[in-house]
Amino acid sequence: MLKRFWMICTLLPLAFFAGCSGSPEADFVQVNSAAVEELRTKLASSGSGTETDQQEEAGPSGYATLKGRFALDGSPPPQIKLDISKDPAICAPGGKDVFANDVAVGPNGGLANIVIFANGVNEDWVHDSAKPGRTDEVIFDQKECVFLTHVVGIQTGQPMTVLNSDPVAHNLKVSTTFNQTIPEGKSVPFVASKELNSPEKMSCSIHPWMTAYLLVRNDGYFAVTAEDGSFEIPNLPAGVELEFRVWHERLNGIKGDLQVNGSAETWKKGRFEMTLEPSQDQELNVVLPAAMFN
Amino acid sequence: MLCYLQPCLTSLGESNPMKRLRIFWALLSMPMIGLVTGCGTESPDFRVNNVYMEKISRELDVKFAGQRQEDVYTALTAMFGTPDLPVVTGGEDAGVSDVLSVENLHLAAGPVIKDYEAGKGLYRQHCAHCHGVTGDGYGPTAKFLNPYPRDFRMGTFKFKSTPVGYRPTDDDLTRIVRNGINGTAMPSFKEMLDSGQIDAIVDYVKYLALRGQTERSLISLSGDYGYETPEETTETQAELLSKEVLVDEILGAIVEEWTSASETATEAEGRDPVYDFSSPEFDQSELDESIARGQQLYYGAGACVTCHGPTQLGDGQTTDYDNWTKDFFGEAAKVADAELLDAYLTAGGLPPRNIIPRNLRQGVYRGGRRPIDIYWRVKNGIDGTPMPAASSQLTDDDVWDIVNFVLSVPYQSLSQPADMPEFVRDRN
Repeated sequence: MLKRFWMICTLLPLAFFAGCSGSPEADFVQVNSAAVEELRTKLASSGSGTETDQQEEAGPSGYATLKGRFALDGSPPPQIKLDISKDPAICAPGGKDVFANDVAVGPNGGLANIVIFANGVNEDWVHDSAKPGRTDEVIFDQKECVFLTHVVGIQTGQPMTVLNSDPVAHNLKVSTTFNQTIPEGKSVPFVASKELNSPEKMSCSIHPWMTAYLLVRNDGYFAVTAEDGSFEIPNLPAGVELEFRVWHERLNGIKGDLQVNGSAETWKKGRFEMTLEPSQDQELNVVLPAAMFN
Repeated sequence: MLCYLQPCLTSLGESNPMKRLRIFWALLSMPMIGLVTGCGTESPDFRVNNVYMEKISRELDVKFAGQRQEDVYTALTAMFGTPDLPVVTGGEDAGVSDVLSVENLHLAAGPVIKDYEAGKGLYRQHCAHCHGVTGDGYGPTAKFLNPYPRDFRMGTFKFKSTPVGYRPTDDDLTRIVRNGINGTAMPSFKEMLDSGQIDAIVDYVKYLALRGQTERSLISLSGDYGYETPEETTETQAELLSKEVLVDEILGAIVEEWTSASETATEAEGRDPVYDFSSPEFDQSELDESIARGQQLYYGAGACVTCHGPTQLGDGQTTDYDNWTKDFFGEAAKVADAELLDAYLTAGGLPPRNIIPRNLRQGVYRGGRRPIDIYWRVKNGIDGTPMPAASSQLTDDDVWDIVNFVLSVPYQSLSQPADMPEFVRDRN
């Protein structure tokens, strides 16, 4: 009898306490309060942390070009058919099928629209030809409800004119930073002010299947692969280790097992490191297995 | 209590009166212990951003668990404190005093002690049940509301005077807290709180936004670092948990967005839009012409018709989602991906809902019904939503024409048909 009583005694409060936690445990993370205090003291201390980091890095020993090609090994993945839910007469004339074309495979398996850029290059090392402040205008057009350039790379502050060559209105929405209507046959100016570490999506809210991507970089060390998969980034600092980032629309950062210049390699998080030899063209030929795109 | 417990005791069938007494006290004390140590006294914590961690872990192939996750939240707690004791550590260096006053935070933060103890626990008393203690729009009532309460953690706000991609001004946030948001569950606080209290709440909302934005930056930056070996972990911690990264780089950039907000506010340009109907100089034909031009623009260069529909019912484009949803899914079409949706819901996202263009015939304007409010909506677009800014090809006078047209729509005969029974008209 007594046993039963004590059991009830213990179970009841247990049930009571268990009922308290309103949310699942994973909603909260336990942190060590001593570690918090220690870090807080460090952050509140005067003087910037930069001073401790002042070890002088050796500069580049010259400049070099990185060029090569991205290609697909195997048969291209099936294309995704888009749902043309608006203005079909203009966006799919004659009732034709429209495809996403997010994996654009050209001649000899060349992969177009892959973005490659050098990340975090010391500002003092940037060659004059790649310095920030480019002013030549980039034209970004759309016709039959398709962005004619699928992946655009520009420098911060570089003017981009957004054209609308369709007889219907579009709007250009650049991720969370820009969203403007472009009346039929008209154009609007666009200037990006913030550097991006990964291309941002551009879309049209009126025709939601329309997709393109925008990369904005301070320096000019970026390239988008052409129809045949080729690219070239000239005047990169040589003799210093550079981090490159590689992006594809369907894969995000390109990661996993692939072939670089004929030998097997594994890229992690869509990046790799490389040191270029001065005054010498460095080849970078990358072959991606078709399975990567499934 | 005694009477209530008596049958219990009898049912235990204990005959010894001494034992009976002991059992009685034991039973009596249980709810008491519960009351003292239970839910009431526990301080709430900020909820972690599991949805964003899920997104970044998919993008960068990393797991947010163990040391990686602990470091993110150690840094966040060191920088922003707790719901009971908010701080902005390193804020002085980052220039946070231009954005908010830490004194105000202490008025708005903390538990609600007494209703009449003015100026304490304001946020938890008035805001947290919908917007959540964390400002994640995930308070206890959130899932029953449509639209969902705003999640402040992206720093994006819809109804403001600044263009898309910029932070709201203090006036913008104050206006929303004072007036509420018509057509939603957000009430007006202007009769309930004095201006000092509203200022405190506005500062606290900005604090939660700064904290949420910092959390996102930290999570995505943390994904770039390695934790595979003890050496790598030490190296990561030395870099990531440094003043240079946390204060100079992350907090500094976020604070800068907020301090520059007021410079980006859009002033009303063009012809004076306010028609004084009582003035002898008021010319109805002038207004009618403006409305007619606005109507032309609605169907033409303004392209309003594409989403708000040919009869302004808001039925032109109803399958899209807002940025808070698309932040995880990337694009509207991906919401239909069952695996992705399951991961989103498991991580604690609210079930996605389509964003619907406003039905302009109802005359309910969420961001305010003054001409200037509609002007900002048309001129700048609505941040976080598919609503774009008017083309820069349109003049400010064009924008005012659209405003006049929009404001006239609820009074058109289509909106208020003459043969509608009198009582229905009254109700609408």
